[in-house]
Amino acid sequence: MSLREFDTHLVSSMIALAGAGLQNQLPADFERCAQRLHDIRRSGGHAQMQRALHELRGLALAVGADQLADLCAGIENHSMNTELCTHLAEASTALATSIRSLRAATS
Amino acid sequence: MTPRAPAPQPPELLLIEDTPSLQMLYRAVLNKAGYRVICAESGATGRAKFDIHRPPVVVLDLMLPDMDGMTLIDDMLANAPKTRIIVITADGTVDRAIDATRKGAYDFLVKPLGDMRLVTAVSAAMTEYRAQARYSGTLGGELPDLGKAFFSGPSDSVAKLLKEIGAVARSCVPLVILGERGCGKRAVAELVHQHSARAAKPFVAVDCAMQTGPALEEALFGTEASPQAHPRLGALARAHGGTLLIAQPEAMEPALQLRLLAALQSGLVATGQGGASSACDVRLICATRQHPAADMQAGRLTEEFYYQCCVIPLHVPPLAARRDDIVPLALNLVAALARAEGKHFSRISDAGAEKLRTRPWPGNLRELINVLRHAVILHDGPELGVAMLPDCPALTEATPTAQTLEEAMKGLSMAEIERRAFLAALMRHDGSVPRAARELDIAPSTLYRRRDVLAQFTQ
Repeated sequence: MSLREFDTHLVSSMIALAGAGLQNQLPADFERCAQRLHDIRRSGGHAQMQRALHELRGLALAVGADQLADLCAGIENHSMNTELCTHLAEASTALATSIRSLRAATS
Repeated sequence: MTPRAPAPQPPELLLIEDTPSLQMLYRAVLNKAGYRVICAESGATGRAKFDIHRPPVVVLDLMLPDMDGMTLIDDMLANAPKTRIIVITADGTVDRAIDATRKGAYDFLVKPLGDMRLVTAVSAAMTEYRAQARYSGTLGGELPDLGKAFFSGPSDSVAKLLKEIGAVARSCVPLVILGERGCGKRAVAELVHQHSARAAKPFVAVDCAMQTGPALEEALFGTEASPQAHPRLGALARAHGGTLLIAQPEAMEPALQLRLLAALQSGLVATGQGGASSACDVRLICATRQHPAADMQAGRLTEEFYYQCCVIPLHVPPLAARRDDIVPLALNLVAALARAEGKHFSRISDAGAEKLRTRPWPGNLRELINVLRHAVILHDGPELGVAMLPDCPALTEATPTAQTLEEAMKGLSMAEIERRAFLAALMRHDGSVPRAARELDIAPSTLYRRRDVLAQFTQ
């Protein structure tokens, strides 16, 4: 499984249960997390980064994007450094890809 | 026209989750299960809605944007102690979830949440809340007499323990009680049970070190009817709805640990191959002398059992670490023991108090009770004097050094040497016949037949 993959059956059943509102809200939440991670790369501190990664991890786990969730978990416990910034960039890119896939799967 | 009774209100709960899509998802799952869900997206909003609605159950994400979920737990339980709080956590924060349970949270769920797991946890929390409301007369009040007797006194360690007992009693999470032999681990388990919403249901205890193999399996799971014997209900079935204390779980065979785990997870217990199943909704409490992580590393506990059943550790201090408690504790106990013997003891002399305070107490509360019982039986009150308190003959008899062994045996009959060896081995193994027998390299049945030794040990 790659960073951008998620469980389409799981997401479909979630949307069937919660309705169309969730179909819009899930991609919006992923996009908001991506934006926060971009902002943190420029100006954020460690605590903000941890919080953003934690939220992204919760979302990734919910849609079955296990690899993305694992990467978030791995980065959450690092201190702010250049290596971390590289990981963050990878996570942000993977996140954008996941969101695009999610839109395609749920629309 | 007969007035129609108002439709019953669906049970209400508060969901505090800051990620909108997850909040939407959890609410949908809970709505479908028949709950009315009040939602909050931050700690402050959650706190305000909690004050307005006072829901019986709160589902709380520990990581909130404006507030630490731990603070919120403290705050809500301080205002409404009977609230059942279920915390949600991502897997990396399980340690925090355990801390939350120590603070009094009822259960914790690890993301991703399966629909069934969420609904089951909420349903159990609702049931326990209602049960607690029914038995409110026994909850939130004074600790039961046993707890008062064993865990009274001014020491900080006992105050901390009692606070933890109050907190974990609200939860359904498996506990492991750690402490030296005779320090009151069973009494702590009974206190947790008596302080929980399961108080009106049975408390059943099984000591895994007191029996082995098929006997232990039968004690836990029972037996089916056969031409030779009536069916026997096992501890799991007898504890249904209540609490099951498993003492020294590391003495269980690994296969039996897994069978016990499967029964606890499925909520069903089968007596044997193809036998009928019965319900076993039990709260599991384990009691042991050393941390179960060491037993897992040594291969005595399976990883599965350790991670599922040894979730929250509760440390019971040894008596030697509670020296300030010993005299008030002894006073309560000697009065109670004297009443049982038709005597009256109401005070302890200064010298007697000093001797009690300074004794090493390797046998802890069990040893204290034995010492006081000895004094009460042989002497009259009302004052417990220093001359009434025996020294530690059992200990000095039981653990002679290699240098003194020959000296200690001088003049003793073979039967007496054997009796002392059995007794010493039993003491070293906290009353476990199989372990003592293993050390002595004899069959457990040999030791079981020595009723005189067993009786002396349990006195």
